[in-house]
Amino acid sequence: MTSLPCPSPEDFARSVSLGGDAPLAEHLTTCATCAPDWEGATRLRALARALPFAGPEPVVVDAVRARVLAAVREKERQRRRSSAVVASGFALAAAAMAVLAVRHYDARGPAATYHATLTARGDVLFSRDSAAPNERVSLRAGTLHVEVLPLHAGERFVVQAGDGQVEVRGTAFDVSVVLGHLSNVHVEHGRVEVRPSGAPPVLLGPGEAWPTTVSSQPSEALAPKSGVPGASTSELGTAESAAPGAVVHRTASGLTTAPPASVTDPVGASPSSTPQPSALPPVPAVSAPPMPPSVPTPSQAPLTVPVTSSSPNLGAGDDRNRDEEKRERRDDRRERSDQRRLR
Amino acid sequence: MIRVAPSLPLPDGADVARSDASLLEDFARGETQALGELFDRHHAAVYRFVARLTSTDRADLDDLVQQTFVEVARRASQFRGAAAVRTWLFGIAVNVARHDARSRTRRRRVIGDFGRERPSQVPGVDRPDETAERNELLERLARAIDALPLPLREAFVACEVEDLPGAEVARQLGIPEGTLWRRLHDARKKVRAFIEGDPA
Repeated sequence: MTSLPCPSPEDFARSVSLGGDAPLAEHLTTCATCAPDWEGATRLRALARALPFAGPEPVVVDAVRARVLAAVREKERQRRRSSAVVASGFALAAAAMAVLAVRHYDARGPAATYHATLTARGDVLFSRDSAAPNERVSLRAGTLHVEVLPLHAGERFVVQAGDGQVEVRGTAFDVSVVLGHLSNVHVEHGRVEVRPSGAPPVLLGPGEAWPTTVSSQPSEALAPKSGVPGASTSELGTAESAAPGAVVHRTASGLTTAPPASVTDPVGASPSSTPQPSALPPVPAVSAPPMPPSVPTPSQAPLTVPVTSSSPNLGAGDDRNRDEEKRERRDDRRERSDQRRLR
Repeated sequence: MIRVAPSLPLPDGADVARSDASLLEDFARGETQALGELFDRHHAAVYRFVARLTSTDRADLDDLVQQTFVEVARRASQFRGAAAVRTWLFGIAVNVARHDARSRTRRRRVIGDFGRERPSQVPGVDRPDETAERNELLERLARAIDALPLPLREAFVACEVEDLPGAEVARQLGIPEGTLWRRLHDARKKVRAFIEGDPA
């Protein structure tokens, strides 16, 4: 007969492991059920501690240890590779966002209209200064690929490229600035007149580049010059090159001391006395002078930001349709005006 | 975050062992060799624990120990210091063993591999006074542990064989402490019944 009730299985097990208190000890002295259980559990516990185990051979332990560390190192390598890929992806995304952010920033307000798609070629420092009709981009360092849809009457697109200036009308080209100086122009399509600082202007057609590796005669300065190795003459006569758009490049001094030059301005001698490869040269790291609001693009690799057809003001098809609509409206207005005059 | 006080700079030539928690912290910071040191300290206990837990053969046992330490490496930064590192290690080993038990269709009893070796082949342990009767008892105990359902075996091996604190074991197993004690109680009863010739 006991004065205390038997403990619960949980309390009993805990007491076996951690030690029983005085009431339990008193209970065990009188309980015929708990006392043998307690003794058996205590003996089992001691026996379990004595359970021997033959460990593995040292050579096996060493092998397992080596495999563990090798597996950990391999996972670390994989993690670093994944991180590098992710980092590259973030860098590309950041670069793309930088370009898109410029567009978004510039596109604020219903009146903002752009005809140019700007694509960074590696590290670029540039800013978009104004929207159409007088669209301006300042390129401080690096190479920028510029693609301009055909402009309308009264509209301009100007790239302030270091100490030079390039005015575009319906073309696509790369323009590079190194250490504040215009260093390279490569025309993808359309026509460009390059007027470098201190040198006569040169007319470039599709696929041509400035500086060229072939020196030209002054009288031929406005004639298309093949600046791209392998470029055939047939490339110069494409529909794109015959498009009305053209590019006028002016030097900084020309802007400040002379009226804007026309596309058909006569030009002189070869644009450069130091021939360079016509292909796009790598752009070295340039510490450009501060010029807010500039947008550095951190990507090391050439970045291509495709223009989606849904982009306002930038879709080629949309722009062509808009051109046709404007032309039709203009023709309608002229027709109505003529009719009014006739009446 | 590992809640461990930063190691104080040691004087030149000082040979002060780092704590297990410091080793985990150092490994989480990128020192792979810290994991090697942790392995050196605990591999024997993990071997024994996993062997009692899984009833597997020697080659598979090596794999399970390896998986345990690889998992330790993966979770090193998650160690909170709420339990001893060894208990935490055993918690990881339990998860590895559970996964292994689920995926394994055929297992060999650990007694098949180790029973013949024990107890006379325990390294560094000479038991000339051990009687054949005690050896037989120990062998029956090993068989009884292997016969336990996995939840009861986890509780018995952790609390009885490894003598880990019940509260920490419950935390590592992810069960209430009362549940652990109940499982331990049931496991003891079954083991005693097995040893005493009543495996039912």
